[in-house]
Amino acid sequence: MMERRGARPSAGAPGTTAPVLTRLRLAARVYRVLVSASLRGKMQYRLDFLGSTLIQTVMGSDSILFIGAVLWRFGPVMGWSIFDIGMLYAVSRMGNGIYMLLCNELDRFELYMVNGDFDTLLIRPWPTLFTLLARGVGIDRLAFLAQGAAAVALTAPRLVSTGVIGGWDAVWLLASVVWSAMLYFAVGLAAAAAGFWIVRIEELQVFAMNAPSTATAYPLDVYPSWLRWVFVTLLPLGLGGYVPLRFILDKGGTVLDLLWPAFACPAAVLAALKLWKTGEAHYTSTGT
Amino acid sequence: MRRWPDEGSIGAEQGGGCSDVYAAVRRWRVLAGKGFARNLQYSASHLVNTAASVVFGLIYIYVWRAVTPESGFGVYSSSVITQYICINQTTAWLTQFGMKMRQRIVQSVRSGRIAVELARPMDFFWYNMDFEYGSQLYSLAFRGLPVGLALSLLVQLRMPNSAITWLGAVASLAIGGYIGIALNYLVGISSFWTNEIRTLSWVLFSLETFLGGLSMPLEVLPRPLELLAKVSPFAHLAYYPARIYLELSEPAPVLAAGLAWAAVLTIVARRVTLGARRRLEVQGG
Repeated sequence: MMERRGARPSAGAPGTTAPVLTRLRLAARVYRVLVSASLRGKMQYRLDFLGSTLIQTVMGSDSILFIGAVLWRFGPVMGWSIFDIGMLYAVSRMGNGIYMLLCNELDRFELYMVNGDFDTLLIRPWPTLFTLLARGVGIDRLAFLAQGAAAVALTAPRLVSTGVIGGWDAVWLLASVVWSAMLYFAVGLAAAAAGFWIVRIEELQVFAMNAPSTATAYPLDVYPSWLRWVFVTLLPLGLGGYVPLRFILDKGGTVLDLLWPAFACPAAVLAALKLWKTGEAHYTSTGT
Repeated sequence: MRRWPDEGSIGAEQGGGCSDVYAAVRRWRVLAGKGFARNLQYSASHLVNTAASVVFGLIYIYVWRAVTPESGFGVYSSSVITQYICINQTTAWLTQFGMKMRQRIVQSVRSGRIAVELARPMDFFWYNMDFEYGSQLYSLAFRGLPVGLALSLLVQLRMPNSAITWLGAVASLAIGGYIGIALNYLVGISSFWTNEIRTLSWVLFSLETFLGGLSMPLEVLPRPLELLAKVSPFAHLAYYPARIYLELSEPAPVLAAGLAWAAVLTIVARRVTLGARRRLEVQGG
């Protein structure tokens, strides 16, 4: 029988006195063990995995193909060239890709609620969110990261050669990817937490994640001000990509556009974690 | 086990010679009615999804307003193209969005329940087609039309005056729904061979979106791709029904091409079903 490494009293159970660093180290080890078990399961059919990732990368690029087709036909949109929009798409897609890779189980959290599988997480000696995320790494969702990387490879050389980006911009672009990923996590976690009350959340995820994700692949300048406001506040995925990129790519804004996502994104994550905790306390099992 | 109402009589009537047509209509009515009624359970969840669909519609409408030149392009002015988007966001609820058949077939194959479903006294393809069609009619009525109404507050959606146009658009849409379900069926039944259809589902979704003209008229595509898309079955899911409604295409040739695709897909689907039946091997008891 497999040893349950996290089952020891010092493994993070409530009331533990183990030093924080030791607990973190233990958590990292447990996470590694669980993730590698998940990966081994998913990589049993490697050729199938490679083939499906490749097909998903190519076929799932419909939104950038749409943008490409439109810009090819009509030229720049509101001052954003195809290369600018390609970079915006890349940042959003890579943020989404990181979220999908690390938080794949949040995306399918409805099944835990409907089937009552969340009960099994409650009896583990680790926080439920930790156990949930460690259960399944979305290695089969690498297509999102691949699409983002491809968009960077296609757009960055041109943006560099025309002087649109340079110097520290690369660092800010990387930071934007991280902020974007944090926002995807915050929104995904909040939508999943709603499942503690309403159980069925698939449609809510489409509303809170997919719609803003599609919307923020375009410059928010194309929308009226009320809709722009929605995409940086209520459904805030535009905050991680569009806001910093409009300054980085010289489309307006101020240097503050680089700074306030750095505060707002962690705040959004903390708010989502709080909602998760509250929801967890209200959880009623549907039975298994 | 819960029985389908009238399921015995459906099977019995199938062998009745000239009553075949009557039996087929009756079967469609019962199964489609069941597919329709089942969705009524999830009205709250569908309300959220409708809101999401409105947001998607708004996205495309504003993007098109931003990019379309004042002179428009081809036959598409800014107003026509936003109407095109509005119509497609409505009708796609019949032809593309929300289909659950693929997952249903996969789950049946994985659980072994498929053996029972194949043993039913009716054709597996028609059973799924009828049930899904009813379900999609519900989606059109309770999800698509509210989306269309909401978007029409933003877009000046013109109503055609000609009865021929209305008939042509409705017929084209009905054929589009059939083609959409048949394509989904083919992806679903591939699980008899692959057991995993996520990749194929992605491929189908992308082809439907891109070659179907859901979010853009096909004339925007580079010429070779435009021509390819127009002769493909995907164009009947969104592009042609919207064009007929907007009186930009003649109904007769479009309907003829749509019916031809529907016939081809039916033949292919039924042949594949025969192959799947031969291949099926259920473990356990």
